[in-house]
Amino acid sequence: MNITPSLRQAQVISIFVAVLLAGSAYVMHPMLNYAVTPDREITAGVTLTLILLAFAFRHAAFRIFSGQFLISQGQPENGDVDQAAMRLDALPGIEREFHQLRQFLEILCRQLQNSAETGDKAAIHLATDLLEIDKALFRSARDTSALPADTSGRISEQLADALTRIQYQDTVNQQITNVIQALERLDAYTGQIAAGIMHPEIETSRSLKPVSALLDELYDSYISEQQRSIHDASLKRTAPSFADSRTELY
Amino acid sequence: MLVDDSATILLSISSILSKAGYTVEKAPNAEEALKKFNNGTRVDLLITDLNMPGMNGIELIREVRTLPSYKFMPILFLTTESQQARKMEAKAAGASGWIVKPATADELLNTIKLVLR
Repeated sequence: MNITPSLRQAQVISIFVAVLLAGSAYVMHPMLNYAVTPDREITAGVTLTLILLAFAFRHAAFRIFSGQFLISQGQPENGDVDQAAMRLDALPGIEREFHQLRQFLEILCRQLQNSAETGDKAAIHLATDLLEIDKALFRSARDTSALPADTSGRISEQLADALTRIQYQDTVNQQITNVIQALERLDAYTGQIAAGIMHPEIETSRSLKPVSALLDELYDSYISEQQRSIHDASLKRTAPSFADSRTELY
Repeated sequence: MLVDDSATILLSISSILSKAGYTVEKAPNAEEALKKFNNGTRVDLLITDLNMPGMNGIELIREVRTLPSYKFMPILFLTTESQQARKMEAKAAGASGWIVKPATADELLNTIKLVLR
């Protein structure tokens, strides 16, 4: 790993702060020995605590002075790099990456939503136009003899067929809605992973459900057999076969 | 009555039914459909989607079946769903039949004739 100059400056400043605090602890030692308690063991304990606090301050100072994520991949430049402090310092960078990943997911959701809405509007316009043509055709067949009866009948059938096919728009729309909902779940999951990395001490951030549970939720949300078979094929597993009866009466 | 949250479906199916001579009462969701039932709209057949925002199709027919005048009215599902478990759930709730979208005019009209007989 390479350490950038500003990171090295931060290290120097933080070590200086730590030395200052440790020195203060050392100077305070006889004062404590005299003023606070005559017990040598307690005084030594207080001094040790102060030294540990100094090192904790050294970490804090390092993080404050180093600013943001300045570590890049590569070979070590020198041996005195504090790896633990570097990892601590990397967290804001990871947080930023997670934030951008979630923005990325949100953009995908919005784009899909827009596609669904645009497709829906286009389908409604098309259906309206087809109905108008059908009405015009009916009037023409009734009032004039511009078209032979069998020709107008055939066109009318084709228009009805086109109206039937417009129903596919609804299927596509529902599938897009499914994908949007799955992306939203993935977004929430990404947020949980980020929270787990940033705040490992918080219990809720550790209770992350397995990805297989997310996949099961996705499977349960499907609204058509086609979606289920795509899912099964992607996971290379055998799907239960269903009788493909399009119409059933009870 | 035709219940579907998709404007495209309401338009295309109602045009097929109107052309065949049926009067179609449309509702964009289950709640709206229930309002129409409770307001005394006369309905001989209910065709409903399954997956809708808010109340779904199965919940709708459970509600409709509690209304004394509609205990025996034919109810058809028109949906992209074809899962057997869902069909059984619908049947238990009081559905008379199931049509998978997209339905052709013939499929739709033949099924309607059968359930209205």
